[in-house]
Amino acid sequence: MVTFLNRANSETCDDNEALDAVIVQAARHDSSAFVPLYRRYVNPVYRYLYSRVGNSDDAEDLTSQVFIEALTGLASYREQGRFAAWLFTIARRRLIDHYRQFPPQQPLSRVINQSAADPSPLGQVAHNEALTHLASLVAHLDDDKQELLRLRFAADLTYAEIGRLVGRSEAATKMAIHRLLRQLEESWEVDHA
Amino acid sequence: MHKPMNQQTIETALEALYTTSEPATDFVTRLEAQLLSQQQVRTAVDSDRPTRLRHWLTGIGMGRRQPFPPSRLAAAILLITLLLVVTLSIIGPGRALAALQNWIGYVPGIGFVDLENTRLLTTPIGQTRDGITLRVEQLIAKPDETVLLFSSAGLSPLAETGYDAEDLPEPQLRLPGGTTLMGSESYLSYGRGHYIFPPLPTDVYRITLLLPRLPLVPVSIAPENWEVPLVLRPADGEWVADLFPQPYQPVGAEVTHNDVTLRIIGVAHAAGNTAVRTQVRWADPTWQHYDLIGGRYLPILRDDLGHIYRQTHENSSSVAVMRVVEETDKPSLPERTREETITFAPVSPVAHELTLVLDALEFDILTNDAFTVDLGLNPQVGDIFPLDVRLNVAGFPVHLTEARIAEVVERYHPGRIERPLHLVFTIAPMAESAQRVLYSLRLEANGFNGSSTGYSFDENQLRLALLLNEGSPIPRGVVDVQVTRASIQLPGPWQVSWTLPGSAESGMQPLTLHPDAASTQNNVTVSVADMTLTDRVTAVQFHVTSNHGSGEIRNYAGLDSMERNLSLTDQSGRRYQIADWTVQWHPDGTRPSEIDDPNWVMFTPLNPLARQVTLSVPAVMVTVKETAVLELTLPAAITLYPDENPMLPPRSDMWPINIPLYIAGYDLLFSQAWLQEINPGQVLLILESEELPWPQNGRWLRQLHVGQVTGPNGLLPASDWTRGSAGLFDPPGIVRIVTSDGSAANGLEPPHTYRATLSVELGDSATTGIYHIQLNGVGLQIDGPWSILVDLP
Repeated sequence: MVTFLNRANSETCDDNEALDAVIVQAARHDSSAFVPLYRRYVNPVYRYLYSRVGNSDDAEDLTSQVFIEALTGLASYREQGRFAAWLFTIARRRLIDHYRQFPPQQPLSRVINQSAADPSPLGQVAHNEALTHLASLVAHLDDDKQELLRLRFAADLTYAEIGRLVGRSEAATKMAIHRLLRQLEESWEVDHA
Repeated sequence: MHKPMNQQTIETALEALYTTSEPATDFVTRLEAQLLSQQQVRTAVDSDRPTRLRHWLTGIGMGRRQPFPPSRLAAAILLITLLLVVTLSIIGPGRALAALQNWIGYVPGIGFVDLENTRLLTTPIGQTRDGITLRVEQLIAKPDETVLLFSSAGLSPLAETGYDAEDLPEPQLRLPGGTTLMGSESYLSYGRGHYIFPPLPTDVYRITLLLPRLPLVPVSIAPENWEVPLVLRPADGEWVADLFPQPYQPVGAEVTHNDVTLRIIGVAHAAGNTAVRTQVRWADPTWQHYDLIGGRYLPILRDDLGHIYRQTHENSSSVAVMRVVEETDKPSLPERTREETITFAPVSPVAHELTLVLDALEFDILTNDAFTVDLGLNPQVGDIFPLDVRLNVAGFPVHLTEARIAEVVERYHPGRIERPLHLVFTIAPMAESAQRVLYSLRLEANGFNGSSTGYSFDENQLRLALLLNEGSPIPRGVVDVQVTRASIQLPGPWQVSWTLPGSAESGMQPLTLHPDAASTQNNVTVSVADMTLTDRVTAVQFHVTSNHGSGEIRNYAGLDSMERNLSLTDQSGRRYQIADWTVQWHPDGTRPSEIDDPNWVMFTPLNPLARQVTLSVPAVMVTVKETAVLELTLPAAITLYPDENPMLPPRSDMWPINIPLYIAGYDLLFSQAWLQEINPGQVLLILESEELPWPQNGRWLRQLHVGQVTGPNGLLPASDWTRGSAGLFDPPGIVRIVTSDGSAANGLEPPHTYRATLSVELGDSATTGIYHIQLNGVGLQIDGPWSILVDLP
């Protein structure tokens, strides 16, 4: 395997948006410069899509579509920055197209079942019965609420980025997610009272 | 029975819940290769729709669109450049620059705008229907175009469940006579954006925005058919200065290296950011400048107080729609001037001097070099073709010494394997130059599907390959290879300084305290070495000392809770958050990306009434230096096979080992090992310990610092994957069965176990034999908290 590095691999800056802007600028002119952008977001995009479609085949196909569309659409992505919100807008559009063909019916519990834990350093994931119970609580939330959780915890987006995607302010998004966590906490307590 | 959960543990559990599904490594690798083989980034234009949408271009949902020739964009850029050149020629550079100061205003969200002969809104105009507000923030009617900024508020989350890029609403401006102007470009995000229309007739001051639907909102979700009347005024009064920050042009703010000049041509200080308009001019007509931001580090702005301001991006949009200008003749003159605006966090009003720092400038160069490779009549994977090709590309002597056909194994779930080929070129090391770096090359050759290139700063090495999709035959005989493009970087740092006009004479100057404040717990002392108070941040430098030496602070305690509680509070209970990343402070003005010291923490500025603050540090990590050596025999006949979990890479069976390790007071027993292929050509040897005793005193073994590793063939190269750690694991062998209703059928609730692992990257093959793994220390996390009281003057 030949691995091609470029400047972003050596970038030590920890700010996503600023770094994205640098890479986007380069990638507009050289598709190989898109690689660090891809590497940064491939896992969040895949996790998000997997949490929606519940199987790796579809998640992989959709992930491919998203990144190819992003690469070909970079030239029309304006002004740099907030790349994540733009990328996940594409992801959500691809999902809508997907759902037109395959209506969603995948319970989150099946998603969990298909991704069993592994004790290796690559699979150090807390994965116990409590998670299963939590998944069932999440599955009973309205889809728009689940979407907020997916964007926060699967896509690993910041409140500001989620806000841009769902048309809310950063503060309103943070509050909405805070309320959701509170709701889950209360549901948990009710179930175990 | 589940344990009670609070919000923080639910948050942690949700993270675990949603991150159990990682993409398969082979899928990631394959998609990356596929992306690399894509052609140059292109825009596209719809060529088969007969309506005016024919002239609209969108970057999203491009369905049936055809490639958009980049030359049109180049033509537009050329036109702008020519206009500038003509302007400068007519009125002379000095007068032109002076005039620019008068013409240009800074409009947040748009950038620097020529306000000469414009009409504007004096105030934003809003309209609310069914709780949803559409607000026209500004309309700038310029001689050449009309720009309309808008925002919307009150939409429900349902409103953003998706939109159809093929059916975006087309805005119009209705003129007094009833005629309308169609929008020509749109830059849209949820909740805001701007449209560009053709210029208004000169005598028009009353217009109406017609918007069939809020942009990016699906049909029938929100009120539609918006009509917003707007009244404009000529931009010729003092009221204009109140609307927009007045930009200024710093005198003499320029720097020249190697016939390239970086100049600051405008600066504006808005409430939300500081905008810096840069101009780069160069002499070489073959260079096509495309990126101000080269090198390793992002641009920063530094002030004389020690603040470092990082780049912000307020002008982005999710969707861009623009009208395609019909192509004119291809440009025959090169572009040799480029202007670009960079925005930063707002600077301190008491700063007197600013310095823009760019790490490097990058230029794109069209090349016309060529060479041949004779692959013979029957080329095969693994064949090596010695070369002695010497090119002069963009002024760089490039010596290709070898070409090699390599097979890239890409595994696809479920079990599908593809084997695309690369013709990899070996390039002789180039002499290092402080003035230029050859950063990339692009190749084209018949029979190949593209090229891949990149530069490793760590190795100072250019990489280059031609790509061949799986199934495509390897070209035979002599292959003509064209070198069509190169990019070079001019390393800096490029620094341009200027004095701020009208800095505040009084204000909060940075105040650095050296408080004699410390707290000791568990034989570890955490002290505040320095604390600097500015109007932008509160910068705190901690020191951690222990019997073992220095250490670093952590912002959470206890692996089982991960409760984050590094905090700063004052005597009135006001809590100060970790500061926004966009402003930092360092006594030397060091750029933030170079500050790699976890003991430097930036909080938000203190309230002026704060007289005493308390810093609470939840945990620290200390390094204990001690050496030990493990010896492991890798047995023969270890084979890798696909993991049962398709999301995980191939691995071997575990085999039992019995390797004790005593280090830093810890008795470890490594009891099993296995191999795992994390990427094709990257095999890890992994050792796992027996369970460690659960800490009773808040001291967690967290890191095993691996030094040299020697294998049967000698010293192994260093690798990021060669490392050791300790933490919480699920016990091995647990198989969970989850029913469709979400309940666990096996009823097991395995506790986490506390174990250590060591991983060693073996490269592309696991050679049987004896390995010696040297450890040179451990990292201990020690839980606190340490509460440090600091009195303020």
